[in-house]
Amino acid sequence: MDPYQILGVSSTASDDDVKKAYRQQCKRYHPDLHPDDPSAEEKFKQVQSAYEQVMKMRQGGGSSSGYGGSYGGYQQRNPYSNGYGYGSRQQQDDSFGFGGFNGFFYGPFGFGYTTGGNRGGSYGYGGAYGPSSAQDTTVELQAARNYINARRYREALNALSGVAESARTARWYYYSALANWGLGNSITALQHAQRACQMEPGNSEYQQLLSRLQSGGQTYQSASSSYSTPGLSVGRLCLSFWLLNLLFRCFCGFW
Amino acid sequence: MFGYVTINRNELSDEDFARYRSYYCGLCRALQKRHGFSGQLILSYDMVFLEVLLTSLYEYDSQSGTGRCVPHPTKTHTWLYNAASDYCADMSVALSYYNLMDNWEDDHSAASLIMAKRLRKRYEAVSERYPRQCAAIHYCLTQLGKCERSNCQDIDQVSGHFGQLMAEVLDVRRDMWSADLQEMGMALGKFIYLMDAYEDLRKDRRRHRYNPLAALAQQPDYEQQVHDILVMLMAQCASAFERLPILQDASILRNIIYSGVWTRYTDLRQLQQKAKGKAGS
Repeated sequence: MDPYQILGVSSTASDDDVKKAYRQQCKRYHPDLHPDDPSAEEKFKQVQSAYEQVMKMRQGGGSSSGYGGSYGGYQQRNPYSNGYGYGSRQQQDDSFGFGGFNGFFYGPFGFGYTTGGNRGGSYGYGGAYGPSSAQDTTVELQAARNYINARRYREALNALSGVAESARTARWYYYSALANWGLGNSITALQHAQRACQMEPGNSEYQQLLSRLQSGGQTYQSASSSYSTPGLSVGRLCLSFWLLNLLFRCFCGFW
Repeated sequence: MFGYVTINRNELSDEDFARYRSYYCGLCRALQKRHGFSGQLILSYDMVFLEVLLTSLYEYDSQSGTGRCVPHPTKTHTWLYNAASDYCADMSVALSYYNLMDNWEDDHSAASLIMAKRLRKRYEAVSERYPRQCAAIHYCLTQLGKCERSNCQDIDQVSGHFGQLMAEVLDVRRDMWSADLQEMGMALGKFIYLMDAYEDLRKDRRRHRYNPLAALAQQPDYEQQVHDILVMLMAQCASAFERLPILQDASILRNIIYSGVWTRYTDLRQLQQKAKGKAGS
């Protein structure tokens, strides 16, 4: 069933409206209010999962890692977000490869941006999954690719660590970025994607990964820029405690 | 705690500011009631953020009232108090206790030991109430200590330990919001830890102390890289936040997440620019 229908809002509703509808439906069907009615509990669960599904869809599918997301309330408030192609839901669903949440905590690699992967059909919206194999000249790189496609990121990193530092190519950094991202090592992933792009500036595959990793940042920054710069003028909420706290910090070398 | 997770006052409406302030006073009250005067001393903005976040997410019923407090005997303040205030007060104690013990072990700071001793009983009560969180805090800080001793320069790994700690602290109930709260906590924890490292880099270098950014700082585009990393982390945090069904006080929380967290960073960059300007002229 259409999750929007369960929540009782249209698919064009703002994120805040979805949240409001979710809260209302929860109150309506909360099991505590209907202790003798098993159908209420069923309905309650449906509402929960519909909400989850809608949020995942709006943020670009299977990733809970935060990339490619539209920042909810900012779509209304922030004039910039349309510029990044997050304006239309339809467009969003198509461009992100993943249709629905597939239960993986970190799983944004599919993206549908490459060809030649061997598990295409099983994950994406017809978009092929996984990095292409053309440049995998060494055993280590081939192994890494296979592991990444199978979402076995730790093994992928193990395979990659077999390559001496001097022999690390752009491709190596690309795979390392993918595997690190899968493990939640977002900082290393970003750095290695940048490195791959520096080593081979013309490679669109690397470029796409990097902009994918940075796209969350861009959306975030455009939302941030609607605020004035924070600065020294933070009001001290409580002057006496601020002073006491300062003394305390001096004595205890406190955080 | 560090106090990086704060508001951008200029962008907060007076109404929201008053509300934020009453959360702050509520936490201060909770600390005082539960943990006495030494409790009040460990009040931090980071924990006020957590208090607002949890109140909004779980829509706890709050009591409110006005009162005078010792630091301001003449003025009255409004406070907001609920289950989240108690939780945040307890977490403040647990985090501070370990930090003070760390300071004692590392620097033999006597003041830290005295304070830690004052908090010990409180901490023991807290760890009985929240064994999972306290075990996680203990474990993560131990791992962090190991990284520091071995001069670990794997930024993800080091900051990840602090991220894990925050993830457990944010995840109050292990319920359907766990994944989002954990993700927020992980990103926010990494952000806080790296902000602290960024701020202390020079001091640490002078004192020949460990700093996780020491290796990165050797690179010519260090400033840009740190900036990109911090933005990415806050973007992750914001993305997880936007998935939560938060309506109440959302404007305060967004003010903090999208703007307030950069307060210290902006200050530091401005100071750097000034120093550069002076050196140049």
